[in-house]
Order: sequence, then structure tokens, then C-alpha cells
Amino acid sequence: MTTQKPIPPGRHHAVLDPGLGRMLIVSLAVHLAVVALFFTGLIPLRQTPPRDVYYVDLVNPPVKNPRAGRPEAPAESPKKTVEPPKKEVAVKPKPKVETPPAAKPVTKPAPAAKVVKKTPEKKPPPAKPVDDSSVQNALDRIRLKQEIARMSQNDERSSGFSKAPLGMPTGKGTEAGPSQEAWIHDFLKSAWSLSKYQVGRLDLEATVQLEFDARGNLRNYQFLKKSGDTRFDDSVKKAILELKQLPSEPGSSFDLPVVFNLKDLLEK
Amino acid sequence: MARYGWIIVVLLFAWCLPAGAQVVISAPGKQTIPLAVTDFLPMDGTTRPEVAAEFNEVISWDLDLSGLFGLIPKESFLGDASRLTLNSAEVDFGQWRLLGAEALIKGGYSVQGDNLIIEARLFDVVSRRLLTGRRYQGKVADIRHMGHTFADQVLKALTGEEGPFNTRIAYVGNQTGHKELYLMDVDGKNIKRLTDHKSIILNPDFSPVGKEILFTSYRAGNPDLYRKEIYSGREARYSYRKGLNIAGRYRADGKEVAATLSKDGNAEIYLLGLDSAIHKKLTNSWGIDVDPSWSPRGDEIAFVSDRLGNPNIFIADVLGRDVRRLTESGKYNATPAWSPKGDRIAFARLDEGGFNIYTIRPDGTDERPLTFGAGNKEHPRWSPDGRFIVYSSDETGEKALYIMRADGSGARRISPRGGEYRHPAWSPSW
Repeated sequence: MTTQKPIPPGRHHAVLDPGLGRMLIVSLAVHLAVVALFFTGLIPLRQTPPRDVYYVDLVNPPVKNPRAGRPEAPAESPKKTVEPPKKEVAVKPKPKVETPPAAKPVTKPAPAAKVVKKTPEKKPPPAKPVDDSSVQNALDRIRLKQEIARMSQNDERSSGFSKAPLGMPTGKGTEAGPSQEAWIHDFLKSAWSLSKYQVGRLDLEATVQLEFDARGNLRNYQFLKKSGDTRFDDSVKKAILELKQLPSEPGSSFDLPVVFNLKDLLEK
Repeated sequence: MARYGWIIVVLLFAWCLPAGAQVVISAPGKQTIPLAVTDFLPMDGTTRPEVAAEFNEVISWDLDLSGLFGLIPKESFLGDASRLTLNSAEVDFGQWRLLGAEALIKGGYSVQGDNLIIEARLFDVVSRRLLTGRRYQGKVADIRHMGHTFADQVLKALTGEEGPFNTRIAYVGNQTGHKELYLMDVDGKNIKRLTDHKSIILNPDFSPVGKEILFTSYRAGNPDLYRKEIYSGREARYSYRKGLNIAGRYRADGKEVAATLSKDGNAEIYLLGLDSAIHKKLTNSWGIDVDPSWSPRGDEIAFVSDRLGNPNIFIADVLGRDVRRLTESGKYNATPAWSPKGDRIAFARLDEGGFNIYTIRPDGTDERPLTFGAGNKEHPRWSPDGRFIVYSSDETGEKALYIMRADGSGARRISPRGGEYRHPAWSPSW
């Protein structure tokens, strides 16, 4: 039987838990094992999927069944990158003479021969303005062009536009072009003109039902809900009246409710 | 009971069905107010078309810069533009609505010798009412001043907040061969030289009260701070301690100045009274602390320091002496300028291609680049209403002054060709 010494009041007795050491060893071993697994590649690392970039075709008229964005894209990009380096080669020898001589013979066909004769005489004058600044300017221009060419190449590589899926993000059909809703959204947004200073509040909202016939004509519209602000409602009406007809026939009549509000301005 | 159960199931099913297609437009594509600015017409027999043209040019430039208006081309104006109608009952609003105008500026002028009277009106075309009207009396030479004042009134009538066009911009120019202090209108006109130090002048700052300016000059061989009354031309050396006396900035109430002094060897920020007495040493670190800029409330100061390596913007609490770092990225962050509303701080950052102007919230979030491209854009300063930023740029090869909106749009050169223009400072309402 062991008797513990009584601890005098006001003094603390330090007691080490005998299991603490074992716990520490186990913890260390587990941590080391996790690190080892991490480096051996046995644990599959979760890679954040790259954000989808959708290329929405807004040039073509709207279609009824727009196709969805597809991951593979046609390889058209190499053509574009060829042109800039050509210009650089032409620039190199004579900084100042680079562009004007190319333009003159084309615009004046008749005196072309004279121009050719005169070119050797014209060679000495470029020697005149050889001061520090002109040389520096020429070098700067070359550098700038090289920089632009480099940046444009980088852009094409990094932006991923060439790899962007074509079609609508919500598309499920097979036709190339935007959905009717997307086209109407873009048209009405660009036609809608209103300054936030023309309305008293920014929490206004109006809903308008648009009725299109089978040929895509705006047959009728009616306010399902007015905002209560005449200027706001007038601006909405004005935008709708610009939308007389869809650029392609939808095939069947349809109704579409459109909500107009100023939420984006509220968030600013 | 089973019958009711079916009803509930049917209702739930209907509720869960996807809603039909709906288009939501959450902001107008065009957010400008279509504005028609007519040529002002003579109110008596004396016709001075150049006076009308100059007034028109001033208000058109100002209102276009504001970004709030879409100006309707004059060529499309109909008959009402050539009628002197100064009250809403006489204006043919139908004509203006036909052109798509929603706001209309009309007016008249009268010239008697050297004296000029301008009557200017802003109408709301949609509600067919007068929004604001002003009568200006003065000399013909004051025409631009009258135009800027009316442009300010137009902004006030439409936004509730007065515009900054009737103000001045001070800058350092080298047109005499020396770096002297100059003053110009917001549109770059009406340039006046303020100093003749035949030396180097830097970093001007306007007093928020009274027409006084603070600047650094090497006139006495050392960078000293000077105060100058603009109208009287009186000038006094304000701080001429050993070492640097630079980058003086008035507090918003004009009663104290923050400046960089290096009297003890290292460049630190001090708070000085208007009598130049040191009230407080605000910073104390081994790094170089420069370019102070007061918060509008006067309780904090943004400044540049290299105490943690690269020059970055820091914010110091004036009372508590707490210092926190504001900018985290960029090789070199300089010349902070706290917006008059206190919501953002503009500064210049050295990027790959040179310095560009950025803004950031005082809590270090929402950093936004405002300028891009080649050249160095430096020394941003806010307009007194916080709508615009003036800065210097060498993007065209020569150092010039530019103005842009606070979101970086609408940048335009305001300084004329020839010489260098740098270190702008925007005055309070003139």
C-alpha cells in the first residue's frame, strides 16, 4: 500500500500521465505514415476541375434546340499565329522605312516605275535622322511588336478559347446557335436604357409576358407585374417595342415571361 | 382520408415540376441618360456665337466625362433647338422625346461690352419639368467658369451630389526649364504658373479650407515644405528641418499636416501643426516611411513603407499607433490616395510593364487595376467628390496628366502638348 504525500495548500504537484508518451509516439507514427502515403502517391489527390469556358454563338440566329457545349473543339488556332512574326522580319533592317514604301506602290499604279528608280536615291536620307532617340524609338517599336506577338501567342495558349466547348451551357439539342431565351435576353438587355439616377429606388422589378407567333413576330406583350415607377416601366416598354421579330422562325407560337430588375446595380 | 392524401401528392408533384422558361434581366444595357445640349441663344440683339460655343463646349466636355450621359448629336436637333424657350411651358418636349432625349439643356446669353449674363436650364423631358436653372453674371472671360459651375449643378440635380468641375488641378511642370508649380482647370485650360523658384518642386497638396497649397521645393538647396496662398501669392517656408521635408498632406479639417521628415536620419512620418510644430512622430521603424494620405475622418493614415521588404502600402492608426499592411502583392506600391468617401485607396503599383493605378478597400479586399498597357501611370489623386481620379502618365512618350472615372473608364488627357506634367493634386470646391 502506497501512501501519497499530501500536497500542501497553495502548491501544485506535477503528475505526468504514463500513457502520454505512448500517445505521442502513436501520433507521430500516424503523421509520418500519412506523409509517406502522400508522397508515394497512394492517396489520390483531389484535383479541382478546370472551370468550363463556354463559347456561346450569338452571331447565328436563335434555334429551338441549341446544342450543349462540347469539350473538343476544332483545331483552328495555328493559322492565326503565323502572321505577326512575318512583320517582325520586315521591320528589322530599316526601322523608319518599314511601312510607307509598301503602301505607296499599291496606291499609285502609274508612277510605279519612277518610284522604283528613285528608291536608290532615297536610301541616303534615312541616314540623317540617326540620333539616339530615333534608334531607341525604333528598337522600342520592335520590342513592342515582339511583346505583342508573344502575348497573343500566350493568350491563345492560356485562354483556352480554342478548346472551349461550343454551344449553350444549358443546351440539349443538336442545332448550332443560341437558344431563343438567350437571344431575347441579350437583345432586351442591350435595348433597355435606364440610369439609376432616373429612378428613386433600385429594388424595382417588372415582369412582362411576351407572346410570339409561329413566325417569330412579337404578337403582344402584357405586364404581369408593374414596378410602380412609371419611368422604369416606360423604359421596359421602350426596350420591348424594339423587339419586333425574332431573327428566325420558332415554328410554333410561344409565350415568354421576362423579368426586369436592377439587382446588378444594387450589388455595386 | 385517402382522397386527401392523393390531393396532397398531386399538389406536391405540381410544386416540384420545373417552372417554365423565364428570362431575367438584372441591369439595363445602357445606363446613361440621353441628353441634348443645345447652343445657347442671344437674349438681346448682340450675337456672339463664340461665347455660346465655348459655354456649350465646357458643359458638354464635363458631362461627357461624368459618364452619366449619352450626348445626342446636334445634327439631329429639330426646330425647338433654335427657339429661346427658358420655361417648361414653352419647350416642345415632344420634339425632344422623338429624338430619344430624356434630359435637355437650353439657355441664352446676353453680352454688354465686357459683361456677360448666362441663363441656363436643365429640363426633364419625360416629366416635362424644370430640374434646375441658373443665372450667371460676370465678365466674358468667366465663361468657362460659368460652364463648369452649371455642369456641377446638372450633376447635383440628377444625382443629388455636386460635380467637381468647378475646381482646379495643381501640378508640377517644366515648361520654364525648371520644375515649377502650376494650376489648371479640370479640363486642362486656363493654366497659371504659381511659383518661380527656379528649382525643383514636388508633391503639391491643397488645403481643404481656404485657397492654400503645400508643396516641397529645393529652392534653399534642401527639400523643404512651403505653404502658399494662391490668390495673394504669399509664400512661407513651412518645414525646413535637416534632411527631407517632403510629401505634406493636410488633414480633412485642414488643422494638421502629415509629412515625411528625416531630421533624425531615417525617413518617418510626423504630424505637424499649421505652425510647423511637431505634434507626433507617427511611425518609427528602420524602413523608409513616405507618402502619407489621410483618411477622410482623420483617424488613419495610409503611407508607403519598405519595412517588410518591398515598398508596400500600410495604414497607421493616428491615435493608437497600430500599423497594418494594406497591399500584399506587386514589386513596388506607391503614392496612396484615400478617396474622399473613405471607401477606397488609390495607389500606383509597378507591374511587369511599368506603374499602373489600382484601388483597394481600406480593409485590403477588392483590389482592382484601373489602368493597363504600356507606360507609367502614377500619382493618383481623387476629385473632391470621389467620382474621378487624376494621374500622370507617360504612355505617349511624354509625361502628361490624365483624368479617368473612379472605375477606370473614360480616361482622357487633360494637359496640353509640350513639356512634362506630373504630381497632380485636385483642389476642393473652388
